[in-house]
Amino acid sequence: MAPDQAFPLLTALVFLPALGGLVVAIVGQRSDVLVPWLAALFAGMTLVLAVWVLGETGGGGLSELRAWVPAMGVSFILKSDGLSSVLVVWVALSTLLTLIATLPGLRTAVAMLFLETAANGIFFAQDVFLVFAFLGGVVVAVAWLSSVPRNVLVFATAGLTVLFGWFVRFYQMAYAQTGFASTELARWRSLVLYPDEERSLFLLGACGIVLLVPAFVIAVDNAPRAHRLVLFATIGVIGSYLVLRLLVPLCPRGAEASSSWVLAFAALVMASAGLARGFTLMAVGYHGLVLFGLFTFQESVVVGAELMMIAVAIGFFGLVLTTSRGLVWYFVLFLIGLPIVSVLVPVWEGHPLWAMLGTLTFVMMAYRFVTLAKASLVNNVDNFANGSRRRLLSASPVILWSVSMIIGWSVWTAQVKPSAIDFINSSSVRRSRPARDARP
Amino acid sequence: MHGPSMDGVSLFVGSLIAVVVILDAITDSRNERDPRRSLVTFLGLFLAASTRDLLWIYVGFEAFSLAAIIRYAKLRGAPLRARAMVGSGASLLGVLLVAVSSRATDLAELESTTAVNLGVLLFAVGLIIKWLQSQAAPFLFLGASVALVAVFVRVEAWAPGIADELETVSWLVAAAAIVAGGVGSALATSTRSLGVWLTIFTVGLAVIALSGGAPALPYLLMHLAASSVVIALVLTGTKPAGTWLAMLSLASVPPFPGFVTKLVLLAGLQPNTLTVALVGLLFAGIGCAREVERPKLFSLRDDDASTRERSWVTLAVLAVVLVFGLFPEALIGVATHAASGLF
Repeated sequence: MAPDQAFPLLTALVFLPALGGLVVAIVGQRSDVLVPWLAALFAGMTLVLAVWVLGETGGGGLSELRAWVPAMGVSFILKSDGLSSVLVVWVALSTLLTLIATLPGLRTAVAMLFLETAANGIFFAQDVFLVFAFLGGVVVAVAWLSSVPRNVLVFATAGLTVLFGWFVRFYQMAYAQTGFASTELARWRSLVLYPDEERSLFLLGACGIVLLVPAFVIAVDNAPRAHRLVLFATIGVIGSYLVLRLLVPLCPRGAEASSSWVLAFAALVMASAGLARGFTLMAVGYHGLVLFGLFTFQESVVVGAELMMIAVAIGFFGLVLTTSRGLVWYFVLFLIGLPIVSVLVPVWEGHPLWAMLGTLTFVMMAYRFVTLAKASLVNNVDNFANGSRRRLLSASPVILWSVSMIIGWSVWTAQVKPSAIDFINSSSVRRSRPARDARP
Repeated sequence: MHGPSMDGVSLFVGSLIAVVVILDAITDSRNERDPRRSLVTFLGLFLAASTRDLLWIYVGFEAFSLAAIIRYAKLRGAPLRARAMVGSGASLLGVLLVAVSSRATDLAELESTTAVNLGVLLFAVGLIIKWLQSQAAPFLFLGASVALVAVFVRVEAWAPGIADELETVSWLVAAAAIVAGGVGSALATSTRSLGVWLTIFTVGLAVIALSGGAPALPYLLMHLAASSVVIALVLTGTKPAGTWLAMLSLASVPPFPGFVTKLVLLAGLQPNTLTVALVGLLFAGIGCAREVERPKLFSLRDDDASTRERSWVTLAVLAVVLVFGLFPEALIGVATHAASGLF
């Protein structure tokens, strides 16, 4: 791991958008015209910092550590790696493009910037309290962007309460096993759990995350069209990231023991997407595919699933942003072809039965996806950005990014492979540590 | 008889009661404002929260109850007075039973016998009845809640044997308060009723957390402070931004104060108790979510046609959220200092 930096680059990257949000909120009281451009300026600066951090990940990444609430064992720990750096760059880029493409009003611009801060914080945080703090920020920003914040918050608070219980249980165990309070992720990963308790905790955490999904669906379906872009770009990625970096590494045996159920659930989600009426549920279905890939615990498939996390965000973002027929079909093909190559084909090597189920449900989903795309082209729904030149300008980086994923597949694979190996090794490390005996 | 003492807990709790009483006076319309009644309310609750003597606690709650009856007798009339009399009667009976059986009313001097336990139980029931009858006035109800929790803290600190004997009863009552408060919050149709139900939930959670003993006390005080101050500010009237912040805090959304102050509190609970607390928290969170951007059709007072949104209250909510949520170390230090020496 790289030594702590003299200049808190990660902290600056995380909080720069929020600072921009405050500035925009103050300036926006006097002038509406400046709002989107000032917000875009801060988003642009964040993008520059994000690319800089991405460049620094080669040496093992950056890290920052500060005490926050020592009495409660809470620390402010940020760390970057291959996957998190890429995700931060994506969020920064998508926020900037959304601001340029839609020129939003004050409330939307501020909410987008705060959402960006919360998302970046989740990707870099290495303290579970910090993850939860930023997750709360995501919930607030999403509710704020939605036109029905009460409905969003009802589901979101339910999910957060369940996750709160999960968090408290781990906090209790950390204190019981180490003798002092701590919320550091690394310390929690070293805890030894009873097998049945680990499985219960995994299912509890999974329920909490699943309860957050309706909040996302309600938020996106009821959001003004300009907001749906940024929500598509960030929310699904955050959900998958929580499973990848928090839930499974803390409950690896529970995850493995429940993998059949999760795979079945993921297949069900994909099958449900086969009946979707809009792109929102389709995006949920695609994240079901990501879940499917992760829970095979097969290295090549997990790498593919991690790349799918990014590809889904890119694909749906581009789909909602663009208006040209050609580009719509490009993104549809991108979202159909990439999962086949990255997830479904490798699954056949290790899990043929599950691969059969996954392929079948994916075919249903893909068929429905094509139907929806045709309907959107006919009805011109889900395409909203004003000004064809601005739309094309905004879509260009997304198109380039997606092309780079196709052409430079090996480079992208190398970028996320360390985190995939870490994900798989978390279960093998826990397996090598003797489990607590079954309860008497 | 042991009189009131100015220890850390009484000062901490007294500050909260003072905040609530002041905000109540501010929201009173001019022709209803009565500084003497507010002073009596404060002194009564402060007295009840500052002493370990059952008789002084009784006197304190009686003073508060009389002030509440005077304030709301016009609106609620006979039922309010009747409930207050029942509560007073039960408390007085309990005090008498304790005094006759042990010739003392100081908690530190009481031994756990059947008669004393029954007396303390009757006394607590009477206090709870008086507490509940004040819910017609949300601010007074909130102040009484803070004082009631302080009474329970002193029973736990100074009469642990009695507290152990009554643990099952207190657990059941607290659990009922948590669940009722949560469900009531979820079904609340106005800011005032939401404030009342959240107060019940807060008290239930505080009392059930007492099972954690001395280590839980600082966090219990933090939870009491964060919840009561935010509820009081919401009842005073905030702008929409302040309502957002307050409701997110009361729903225990991270990293708002409600989440931070409840974390260690919940971590000290046994699994079954934790489950009950989380069920209540779930419903309370739903209630808080429903309050966000709820059309303000209801006023806080039956005889007031308008609901004011005060800018300074919004700023106060922001200050509470920032201080308690993002920088809780200071509050932890104050609460720990207040709690030290009590157990």
